[in-house]
Amino acid sequence: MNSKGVITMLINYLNYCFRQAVISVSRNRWLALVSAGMIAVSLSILGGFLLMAVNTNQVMQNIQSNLEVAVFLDDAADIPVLEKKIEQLDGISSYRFVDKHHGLQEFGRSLGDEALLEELTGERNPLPDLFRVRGVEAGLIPALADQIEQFPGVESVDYGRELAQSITRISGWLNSFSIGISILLAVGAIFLVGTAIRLSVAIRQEEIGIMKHLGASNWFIRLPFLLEGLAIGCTGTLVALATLGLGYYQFAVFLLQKSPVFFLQPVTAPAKLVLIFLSLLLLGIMMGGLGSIFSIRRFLKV
Amino acid sequence: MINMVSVSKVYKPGSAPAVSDVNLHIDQGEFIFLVGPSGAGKTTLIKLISREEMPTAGRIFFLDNDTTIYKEPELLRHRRRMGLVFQDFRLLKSKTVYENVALALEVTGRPPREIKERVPAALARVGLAGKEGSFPNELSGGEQQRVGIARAIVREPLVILADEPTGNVDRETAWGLMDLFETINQGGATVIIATHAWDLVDCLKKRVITLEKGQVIGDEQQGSYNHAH
Ligand SMILES: Nc1ncnc2c1ncn2[C@@H]1O[C@H](COP(=O)(O)OP(=O)(O)OP(=O)(O)O)[C@@H](O)[C@H]1O
Ligand SMILES: [Mg+2]
Repeated sequence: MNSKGVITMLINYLNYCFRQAVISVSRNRWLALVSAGMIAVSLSILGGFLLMAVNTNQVMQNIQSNLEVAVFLDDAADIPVLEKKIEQLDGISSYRFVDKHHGLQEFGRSLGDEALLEELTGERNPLPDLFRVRGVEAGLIPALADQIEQFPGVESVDYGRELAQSITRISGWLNSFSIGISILLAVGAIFLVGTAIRLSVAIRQEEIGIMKHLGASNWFIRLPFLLEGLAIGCTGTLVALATLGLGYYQFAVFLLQKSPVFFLQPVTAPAKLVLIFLSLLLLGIMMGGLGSIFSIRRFLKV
Repeated sequence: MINMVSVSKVYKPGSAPAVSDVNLHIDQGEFIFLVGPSGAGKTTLIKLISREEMPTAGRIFFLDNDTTIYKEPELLRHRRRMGLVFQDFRLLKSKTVYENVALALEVTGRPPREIKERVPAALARVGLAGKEGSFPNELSGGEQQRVGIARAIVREPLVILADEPTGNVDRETAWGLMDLFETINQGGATVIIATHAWDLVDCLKKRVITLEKGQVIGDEQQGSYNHAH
């Protein structure tokens, strides 16, 4: 057979497979719809978690870059020597010296009424001099604080110990939880697609037998079922992507306009979002394919 | 064209062979009746020729090729050279007459243009012109079997294998179907029919191969049904 012959044969064959898949899906459309719906739900949840993860990551970075250690000095401290020591520490992103005079001003501003503290200026200022030290990430802060506390002239250190620890803990926890849930849902969805294909195979058992007698190749018999699974996967994925896209758009617009705090900003970098959506698309199609391959291998004896 | 050399088939190890040490030679263009009592091995012999079953011993040659060593591609080509006709017709109820016959061409990837020409031609040959759009359950048993025969001949096979093709139709209809098989045979195809219809066999005076307990106990040109059974 020449190559033109092979190509027309292939086109006729694909045309046939496509028609079979359409017939099959429409024959048991309820199960097909339920499986597609299940894929849509699991992908929406997974996608939701992924979007939440990139957003919490960004928020945490915002917070982390603002987490600082307050280093309170005693009156006898040798400030230039201390400054040098702090400067040489690993994991420091920036530091700033605040003398007791400026400290009082900052405190007054944070109270909203600088006049209240007028009594305490000059010699009567009870505040110590201090350094504000920032680490490159939240996880490093406790160690930095411990080190600095040992330096001579340091009265005490203070940092958002609780905050730093809970941020690290919660993000780890959230990540494993979302991955776990998504895997469970994905397995459920794959299983449902498998069931849909299994039903299609059962419905078409007689047809399969006849096609074998007529000399149909194994792939000729299998491909319509694979296409059917892929079609279910695609449908579910598209629904999930549309839902996620709309939902996230609303969420982003809301945050951009009404964010209560500076560090709560949505991720809008197209590269990150496109990557997430593309992986979801791939995953959804793979789930459809996996479900049908599973059933084809198990139930389609050709 | 078909050469069976010491062919045996044992379905379950330890059970009696369904076909036992059969030697047969069948030429291109022959018309053959396979007869014998129930359980004699007629269906098994047909399945061995179509290679639906593998012999447990012996060799079966088709056009000088050893079919027992066929791999997937040769097996597909082998099946595509045969036309199979069944007692229960095996038509797809959800497909029209046209679609049932077209399936035989679709599985081999024939182009739609060719299908559109050959399906009506095959239906005309079996006397069903005009029934293209009907569904199998709208046809009589004899007409359904004609659809089955049209599906078998639409690829112009070298051999037609029919297992009790008249088993589900009345006597009169059976005569009509046998006429049809004769016409197909005159067109050049080898026709092999397993049957219990002794009156037809006796009347048509074709080659008759008689099986009993898996063995060939009679093989006559212009033979007749052995009434002892
Ligand atoms: N798939 C199978 N598994 C096990 N044994 C089988 C199988 N098919 C047939 N047999 C056995 O092989 C023997 C021959 O059966 P076969 O169907 O070839 O007979 P037959 O001549 O076609 O009979 P009938 O006239 O009733 O159709 C029988 O004993 C039968 O029980
Ligand atoms: Mg039989």
